[in-house]
Amino acid sequence: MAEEVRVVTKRMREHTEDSWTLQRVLDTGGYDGARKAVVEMAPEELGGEVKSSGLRGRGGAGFPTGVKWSFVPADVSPKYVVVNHDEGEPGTFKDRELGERDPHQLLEGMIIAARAVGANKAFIYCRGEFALGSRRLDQAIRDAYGAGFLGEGIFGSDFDFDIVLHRGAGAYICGEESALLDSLEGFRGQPRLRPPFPAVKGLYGQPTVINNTETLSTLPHLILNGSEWFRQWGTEKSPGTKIFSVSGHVNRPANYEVPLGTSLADLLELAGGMQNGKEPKAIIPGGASAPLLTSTDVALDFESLQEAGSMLGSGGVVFMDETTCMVRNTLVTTEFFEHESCGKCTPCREGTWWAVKVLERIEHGDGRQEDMDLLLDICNGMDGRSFCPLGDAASWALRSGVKTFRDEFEQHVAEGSCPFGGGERVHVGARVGATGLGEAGITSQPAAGIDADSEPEAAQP
Amino acid sequence: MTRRYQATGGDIDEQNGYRNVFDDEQQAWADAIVAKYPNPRSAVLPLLFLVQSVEGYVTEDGMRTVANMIGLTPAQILASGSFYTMLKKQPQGEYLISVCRNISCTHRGAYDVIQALSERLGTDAGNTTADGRFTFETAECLATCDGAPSIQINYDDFYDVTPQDAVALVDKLERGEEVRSAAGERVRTVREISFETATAGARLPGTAGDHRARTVGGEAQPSDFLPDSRPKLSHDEGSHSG
Amino acid sequence: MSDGKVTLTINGHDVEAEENRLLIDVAEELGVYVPRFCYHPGMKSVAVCRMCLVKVEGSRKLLPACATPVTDGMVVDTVDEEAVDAQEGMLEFLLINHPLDCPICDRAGECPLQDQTYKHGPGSSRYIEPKRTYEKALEISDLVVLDRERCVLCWRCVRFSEEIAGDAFIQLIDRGAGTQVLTFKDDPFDSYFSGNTIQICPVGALLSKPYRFVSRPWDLTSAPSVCSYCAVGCPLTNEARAEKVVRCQALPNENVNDFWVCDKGRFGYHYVSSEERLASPLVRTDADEFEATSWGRALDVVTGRLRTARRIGIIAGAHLTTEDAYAVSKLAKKTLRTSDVDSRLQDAGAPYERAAALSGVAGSTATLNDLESARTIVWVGPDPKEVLPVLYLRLRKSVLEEGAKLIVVSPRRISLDAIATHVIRCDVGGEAEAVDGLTWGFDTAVAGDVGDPLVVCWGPSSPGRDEGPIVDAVVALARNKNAKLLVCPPHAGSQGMIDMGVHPSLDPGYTPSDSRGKDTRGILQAAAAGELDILLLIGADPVADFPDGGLVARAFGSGVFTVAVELFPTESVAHADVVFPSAAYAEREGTFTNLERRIQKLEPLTAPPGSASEPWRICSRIAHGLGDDWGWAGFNDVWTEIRATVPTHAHVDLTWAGQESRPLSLHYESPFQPDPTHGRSVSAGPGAGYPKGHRSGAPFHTGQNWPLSWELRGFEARQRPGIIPSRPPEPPAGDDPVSPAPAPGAPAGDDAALRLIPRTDTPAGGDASLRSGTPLSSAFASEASPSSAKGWSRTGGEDGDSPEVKAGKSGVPERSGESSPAATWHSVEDEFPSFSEGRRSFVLYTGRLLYDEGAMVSKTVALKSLARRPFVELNEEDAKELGLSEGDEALVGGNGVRATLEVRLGDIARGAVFIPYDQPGWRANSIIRGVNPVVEVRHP
Ligand SMILES: Cc1cc2nc3c(=O)[nH]c(=O)nc-3n(C[C@H](O)[C@H](O)[C@H](O)COP(=O)(O)O)c2cc1C
Ligand code: SF4
Ligand code: FES
Repeated sequence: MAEEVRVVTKRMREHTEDSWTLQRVLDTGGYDGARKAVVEMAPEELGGEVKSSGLRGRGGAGFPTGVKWSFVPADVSPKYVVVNHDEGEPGTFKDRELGERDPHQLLEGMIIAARAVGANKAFIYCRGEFALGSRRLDQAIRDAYGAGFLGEGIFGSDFDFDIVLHRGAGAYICGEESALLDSLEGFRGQPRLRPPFPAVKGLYGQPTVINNTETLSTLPHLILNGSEWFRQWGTEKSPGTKIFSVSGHVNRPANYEVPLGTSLADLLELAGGMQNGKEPKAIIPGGASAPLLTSTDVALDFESLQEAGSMLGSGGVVFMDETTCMVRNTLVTTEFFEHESCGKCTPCREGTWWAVKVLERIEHGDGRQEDMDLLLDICNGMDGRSFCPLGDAASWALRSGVKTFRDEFEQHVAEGSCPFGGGERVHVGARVGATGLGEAGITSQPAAGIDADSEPEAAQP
Repeated sequence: MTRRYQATGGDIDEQNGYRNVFDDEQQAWADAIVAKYPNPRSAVLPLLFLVQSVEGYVTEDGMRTVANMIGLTPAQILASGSFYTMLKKQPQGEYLISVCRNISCTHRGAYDVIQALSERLGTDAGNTTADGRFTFETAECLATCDGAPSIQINYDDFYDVTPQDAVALVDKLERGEEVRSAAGERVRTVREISFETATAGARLPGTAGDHRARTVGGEAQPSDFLPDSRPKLSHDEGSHSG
Repeated sequence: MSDGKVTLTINGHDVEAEENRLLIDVAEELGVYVPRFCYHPGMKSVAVCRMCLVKVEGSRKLLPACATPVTDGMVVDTVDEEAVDAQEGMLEFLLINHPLDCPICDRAGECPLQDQTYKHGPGSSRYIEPKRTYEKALEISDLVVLDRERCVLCWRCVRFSEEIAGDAFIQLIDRGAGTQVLTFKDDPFDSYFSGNTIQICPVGALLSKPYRFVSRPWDLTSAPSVCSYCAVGCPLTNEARAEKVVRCQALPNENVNDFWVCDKGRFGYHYVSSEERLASPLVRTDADEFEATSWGRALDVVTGRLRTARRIGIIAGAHLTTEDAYAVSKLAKKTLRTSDVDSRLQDAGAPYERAAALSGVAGSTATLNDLESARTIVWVGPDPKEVLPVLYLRLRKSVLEEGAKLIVVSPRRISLDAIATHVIRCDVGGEAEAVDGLTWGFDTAVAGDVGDPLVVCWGPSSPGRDEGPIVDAVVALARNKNAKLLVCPPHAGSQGMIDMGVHPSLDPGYTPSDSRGKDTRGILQAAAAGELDILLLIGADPVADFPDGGLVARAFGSGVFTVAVELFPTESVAHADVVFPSAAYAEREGTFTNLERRIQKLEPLTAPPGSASEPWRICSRIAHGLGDDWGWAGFNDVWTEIRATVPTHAHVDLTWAGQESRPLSLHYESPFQPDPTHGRSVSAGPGAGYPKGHRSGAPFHTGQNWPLSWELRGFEARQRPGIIPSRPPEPPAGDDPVSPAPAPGAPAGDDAALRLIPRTDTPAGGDASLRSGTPLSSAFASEASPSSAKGWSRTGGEDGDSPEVKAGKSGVPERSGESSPAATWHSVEDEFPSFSEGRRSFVLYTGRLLYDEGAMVSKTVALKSLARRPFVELNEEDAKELGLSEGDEALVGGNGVRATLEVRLGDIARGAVFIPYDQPGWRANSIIRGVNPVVEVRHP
């Protein structure tokens, strides 16, 4: 029987009523890790401990945290720590819960990270839609100042540390670290050209460490107990525990913390199995960006999933049973990427727009046999060619949908309707232009004039 | 459309006539927001939320107010503001109902909720009801997949929402009753929630936790440095602030 | 690799290149064109269009050539299957939402997207859905039209306005597939540089309103030229259709303008084909009317007068070419034996000659490029954005990109303040003291930032004031700090005039004249006092330009016999007795010398109207009529003589000053290879438009600075091997080809006499108050404004001495006799300590705005409406004391004339007011009297 290993989720699972309050936090060993980091350890020791723990970023890319920190130049100041609390990857909801239920744990992790790299100020980039999380984080910051855990000379040391809470305003791309920085600086949240990397030139052009909420929330435990302790879980290359957000057609959708390397089947079991005793038809193992799996026989760690042709990503696991229309699933994911494409580069902007049009056609019974190959061509046009990984991700999700379930796509085309009865058009709102100004909005209608005369079929470039 | 004007070459001293949307109290908050950051430009988005809390949405005057405060052109404010979905450029209802339409929610019945709300509100997603009370939109993954299908009303979460639940929520709000979210939070109005979003992390001078006076913005900042990936801007150039 | 070079392989060719250069540039120099939309050599890479993806060995993904620096050992394949697939795929993406309106698109025929598609694109589209549409053709300003459907979202326009011009009025809004370029609501694209975005837009999304639907690109003929407006001297191409200039674009020159010109230079060509141009010589008849006549007769009249005249004054305008300048100087000093010759009008009295104290050159010792390598730049002068716009861009680049520290000394806030390290706000005239402070390090904070290399810039700012002490202070600073000096005269021809000795105390090549002659003021004073027999105005309009309207009125009122060489029937022409029509810059061969003494060449494109001719030729004919045959038949003869007689110009070789004539595809990037048999063009593809290696200083510039040190010449020679000799050439031979001269005395149109001046005097004191939009030169309009003749008519008559004459063209009452007040400086406090009844005296600080009432703007439909109404700018405190606030009307008076002007509050020294010099409806020179003018302001 699979079991959770609760490290990061321990407090919030054991004290569901008040895990976010300072009192409860202090009663359960809160801030011990931060105190140790500031009072007892030298910054280099901190970095060394994290490096040897092999902790890998939990935000999606899985980059070793200690290595990332080591890129920060020592002799430039000021430096910043920025928390990526902009969780938006479909199927992922671990950071939201950590922010709502254990904000102090995150603050503690920030203190450790800042101490390690020599930053005196940190920002929490909190997703705009997280109203409750923001309230709890804001209160936690106040309380931590009150307790002397933040501010001047924290824990009686000579280390000054401030935290500023910043709210996003609604854009998935701001989860991408360089777009996040632009957004935090008040610009459109669009990814930056790299190099330079944020560790060298980040926020306001200064060296900046950007880490995910879960990554930072792991630190207090790691520092308190040491890297060896941390390595007791997981695999050699993917050590430690990881929170997986399980949702979809399962009986108990929720966050589950398990050692990396746990099998997908065990995770499904933890989540109470599939609803109505059905079988999983498709599984998204790491957020909407991750290519689909069809079997639960895979270990949940960075390497195994990559071997299986997918990725661990953010740890958002979505199970879908046989009632699911995979064309609709692909359409929904692609619509998501289209809506969230920042528009900076050609392939992602135009590719997602085009793919959505084709997918809509197929889902609503107007598809053509050549559309599947067209979709794959669109994927090739985006994959590896867009400015940032969003375009890549869009193509992975789309390609795996078409390739894995090509027969279902073909069935839609052949039957001229959705075999799952999902062909009805539900108006899901003005997709593009929902962000924009009325007078400047997009119309999808052919324009009067020159364009109106051109038959769609005869459209020439 | 022809725009007749006398060219000033973007003269920094040129003021465009506009209405400052902030009163003294709101201005104090605006200043507290700016004080959070080493560089005032970072305050643009929170300030636009503050405009939304005052005006109900991000108005033209509001954008000009922010532009003048930060020393940017209104076009730059629009460029930033229009990028984000939570900043509404058109009048919106008192309650914003956002229905998640991403994978987990779709597979667990979100379209039925959308359908039910469309019928109850008499409008398709993306619109505001005729009485101006509700704006109804679909949203991308709200990170509440464990409660799919889930919705937000002014960004407070409701889990496992059935079509009947959704309609009942609307009924309650319409009757003016208090509605509480899954976490027991009182649902705010658009103005309230916008104010809360704007002022998150901001402290009025002299209030508890106002640590900024000492540190925030206190350290030396290279004033005109911007990363190479983006053109360098000089912040008070080309602006309309005097 | 040593010496900063790397070796790499591109498509199988080994190339050596400097480290850190971009792959896209290096490939281009090799003749390998990598398609692109977002990359522009004048701006930073953003790598957003993804068109330039190429295969680099060892890289998993394709890399954008525009954002990939070359490294040693790199192996690049731009035509790798995968790369080509990516490029074609990108094209398909760009086209799915691109409208099919090429037939009505101005860009068609010179559109990279079109060319790219033609060359690589698929023949049909797989996209069958409706295209994204927007409202078409938004006029986002009076000059620029935006069609968002055609936009490929390359960000060039947005980057230009933020990065280069610093006025971010055009931005990307919304996101994803809805991203679009737009201005804020109804705010116009209010930039002095907006036209550049039209030129760099790779598609037809940003269009020139004046050029829209005017021509197809293949119908244009073009010729390289130089902007005739300001002293920066931006190289341009003029393009004509059916003998009419219809478009003008920037020619890139990294030494001068990078890739840019200002909107005045770009759109100000209309005046050339204005209906109002003078087309034949005119002579005043006994009936006091102008009559068109033949050149022979007009010349006879003039030479007849000159033969007997003893006291001759010559004023030349600073929009003339260097050859004109030489001719004027020769006519005055050699043929007529007078040193009473000057070219300074608005900058009357500006003592350029004092700059020679520094280095023997009455001009700059610095080049524009020196600004970029400077550690510190000191700016003492007018607002460069208004007067020398592209210099403003260069200064901005030096400060923001190269990190130079900028110290601005000005009595009034100018555009540079926003980027300055230090702003020294001084009293009007207090600049000298402030500069002394820098020299001697009084203000430690500022002085601490005065570092080597240092460039000190000075330009005459407020017309009518004595710049002497300021120049002396500036020169002292430059000498003391071993700095270079950038002298910034206002006009395109200003420097050439000084170089060629159109100056009362300097002969050609800065040699002091034997006798010191009268300057402009002196000449006008002599005329006013009846001590002048003949006044020659060569491209000069003192009525509009000279900063003492009263003196000009008295000068003409004296009835002095006046000869004018002009483009237009200006108000000064109205007082002339003989008028010769002049050819404009697009109609003639010639050179301009810019403020860094760079000589650049103009080529003729269209024919001048009627029998209009170049001023140098007119001077030569006058001399010929006086028996002094200069033997000039064409442009080359003038240059042969200049080289032979002006020591500083002995080695100037005009083949260096010329601009390569390039194919028509000059300004856009096309993948087509130019025909190698055409010219010297080695640059492939876009190289036709963008010269190679812009950033690393590879061969690409026009003109030359002189007198160049041979060290500098060696540098330029390395840049242009085979073109610029690295050793002094042999003295030039005298047998340059000769261009045919039009027959002298070509018959004039024998139309009936032109009636130019209404002779019926209208009553004085007629309502001449400010009327918006009435050009002052309407003296020539058929319905003359009531008071136009009054006070200006050359027959003089009684002057309007009514104290309440408001602003108007008659605004300068006559004052007999006395000359201008002494040029001594008094502080306001000394002389006007008190004010009573809400009135007060202020020092007048004036200056031109970019869009003014000059011919380039007022005769150009596109720009005319952009000129601002006149206003008076006051310090807030002063305004408060007068009970005035922003937007109020104030009475401004001086020299017995009053005007009602709108009040603006500004950052200006207390006790001073700023009034733009020449805005539609009113000219500031009407209230200027004497040097260092003082005006009175009060509540109306
Ligand atoms: C399109 C895109 C979206 C992303 N969204 C998130 C996100 O919502 N949260 C997050 O922590 N990281 C996100 N990332 C990853 C971040 O760029 C970055 O790798 C991460 O914040 C680094 O933190 P870590 O090393 O602790 O994982 C995203 C990346 C991309 C390309
Ligand atoms: S308008 Fe032209 S220059 Fe501007 S982004 Fe579009 S295509 Fe590029
Ligand atoms: S991405 Fe290189 S030219 Fe656009």
